[in-house]
Amino acid sequence: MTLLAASADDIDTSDQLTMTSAFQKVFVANGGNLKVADFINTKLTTGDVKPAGKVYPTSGTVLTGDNSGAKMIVDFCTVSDGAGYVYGYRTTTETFEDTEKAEGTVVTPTGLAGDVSFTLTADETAGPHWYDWKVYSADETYFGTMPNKAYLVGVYRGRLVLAGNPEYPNQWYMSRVAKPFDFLYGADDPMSAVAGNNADAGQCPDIVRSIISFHDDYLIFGCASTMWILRGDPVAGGSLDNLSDTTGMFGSNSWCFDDDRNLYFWGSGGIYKIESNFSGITNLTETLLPDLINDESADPSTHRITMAYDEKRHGLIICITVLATGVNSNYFYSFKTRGFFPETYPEECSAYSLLYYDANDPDYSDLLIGCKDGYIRKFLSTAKDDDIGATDEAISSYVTYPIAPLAEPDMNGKLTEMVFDLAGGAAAGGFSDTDGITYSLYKGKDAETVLEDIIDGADSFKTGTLTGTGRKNKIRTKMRGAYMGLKLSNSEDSETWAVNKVLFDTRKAGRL
Amino acid sequence: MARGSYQIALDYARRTGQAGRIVPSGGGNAGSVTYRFVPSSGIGKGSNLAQAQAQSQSQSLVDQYKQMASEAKAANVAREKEIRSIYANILNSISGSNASMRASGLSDIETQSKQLVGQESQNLISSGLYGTTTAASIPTRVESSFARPARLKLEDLLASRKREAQLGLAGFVERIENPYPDYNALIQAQIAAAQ
Repeated sequence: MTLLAASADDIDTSDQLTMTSAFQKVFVANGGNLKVADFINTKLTTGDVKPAGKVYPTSGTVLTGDNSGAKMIVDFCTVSDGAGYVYGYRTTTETFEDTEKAEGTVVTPTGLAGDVSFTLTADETAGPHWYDWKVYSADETYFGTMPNKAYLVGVYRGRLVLAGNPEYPNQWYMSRVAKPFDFLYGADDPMSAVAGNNADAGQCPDIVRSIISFHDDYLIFGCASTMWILRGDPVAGGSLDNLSDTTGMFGSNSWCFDDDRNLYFWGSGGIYKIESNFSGITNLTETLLPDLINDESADPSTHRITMAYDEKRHGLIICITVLATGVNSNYFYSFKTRGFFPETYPEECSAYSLLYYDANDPDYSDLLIGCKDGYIRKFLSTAKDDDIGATDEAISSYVTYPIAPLAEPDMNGKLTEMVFDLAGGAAAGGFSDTDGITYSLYKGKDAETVLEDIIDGADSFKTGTLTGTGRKNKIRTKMRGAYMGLKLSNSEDSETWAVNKVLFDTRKAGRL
Repeated sequence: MARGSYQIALDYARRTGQAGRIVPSGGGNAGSVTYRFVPSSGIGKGSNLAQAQAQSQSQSLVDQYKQMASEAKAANVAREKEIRSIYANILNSISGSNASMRASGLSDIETQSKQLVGQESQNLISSGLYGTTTAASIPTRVESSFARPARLKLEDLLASRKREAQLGLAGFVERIENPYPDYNALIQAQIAAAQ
């Protein structure tokens, strides 16, 4: 990895930040820090971009070095007069040289037409470059104005989309098509920059929290308590429709698509799924985790919720992280079992961002986790500890089996024996073997008491540790009660575990 | 008696074979000078009666010709005045109707512009995009795509109506001819009278 030196201390990593790639650049929205990382252009430096009788070069102007013969197509100019920089794509092997003149002719816009001729004060500078994202040449007459602040940025139909402006939180802004430095709204043509909000006519618009574009087909605005979808282009026959009047979106990163183009997001009432054909919105946690929102108590001002689709493990990962501390609560939603698996990571490993990186080499394709401590991590199936930087941390895990009756209703039963079948096949062989498993048996007169004891960590009726693979010897417990609970766990260093099945036998033991 | 240009008077003298002289006989139209041949012996000095009669007949023809020409010219001038008056009326009428047509046309254009702005606004409301800067640019777009071209077309229509009448008047003026006296016919008549 390479650091863009100019970007150091130029963004506020303690503040919200989103970025998107377009036109061989990365556009960064970090509040008042609107920046561009430019990976395509060459930079020219001049003491006066617009000498007397000349004009400054507009986007698309072809400049030629009068001595070198180098040529470039201008992309961005920082000033309309005086000292500044001109960025453009050089099309020749010859390079622009110090003291030569860059010359060309501006044709459009007609108000800026004329001859360009300015003297370079340095040899050209190769990319990548880092500079402020402003309107072209800072000329508001011809190129409009950008919001002072923005925390959300995206790309849709060749337009750079900005939102999350604290001064106008319900407003979104789109640049001219293919002109990310042109924000002259309302120009009378279908490519014009446009700004707007999401509401029916005359209604108060909602706060934009997320912008989700799906190719050039549609753009979803996830708002605080509503959701809207923009189909087509807002200046050329598009339409903006309400997706939900009751469900909002948590934040800028709390959504993801799966490989069937279904959209998942953390909304006002849990985790939702929007079918790819927009046939409906389904709350996935409504029955499985009905009190998820209250349980997590996530606050957009203190928490970040990130979501991603893990192609390798066929599921979603949902990470809820307290930004300040790294305390986290996460879920893996399996597409195979349609179940949610709660997870907690070491605070160093808490997820600030998630991205599935798809490389040509499968070894380098995986879900990447941008962590609190600055590392980018990935899930490693063979690892038996969590990597927290200088040291490792044991993985603590458990499974609680469904609370089971030991006899008919309102009757006591007796657990006579249990048999565990641990994963790994034979002790030798190619299959990965399980490490040890601790089992804990609980009993009670009702199911809820049993579950409560397990959650509270109450003393178990019996506990023990199993080691080795395959079928273990019978465990004869003679545990008497109406209900039984079984918890399997392991919190040892460098250990992981798996179990194939657990068998048990009971017999009647009289009335309660 | 030959009256006309000097050459006509001279030709006349040659044809008659008489001695005499050519003298100016007074101003013609537009300051031109006419000439006549005067025999040296003088009419009153023994010319015969036939000559006198011929001369008298010739003079009568000239007078008759003059009268007819004068009457014809007067009739033409009167007709020209009448036609000019008709054209003037037409032009006045067009100017007046143009003013009312302009007012009516501009009013129609404004009404239609409002309808277009309304339709586009309604379309934006239907599409959910009324809360965008696209809505703010509707009047500008209607102005440039409809109102301005419509106004130009209206002015062009009004100008073409007036221009048509003006071209008619110009064609009429162009066709006006001022017929000059046919001196050949007159001389022939004089010769015939003299024989």
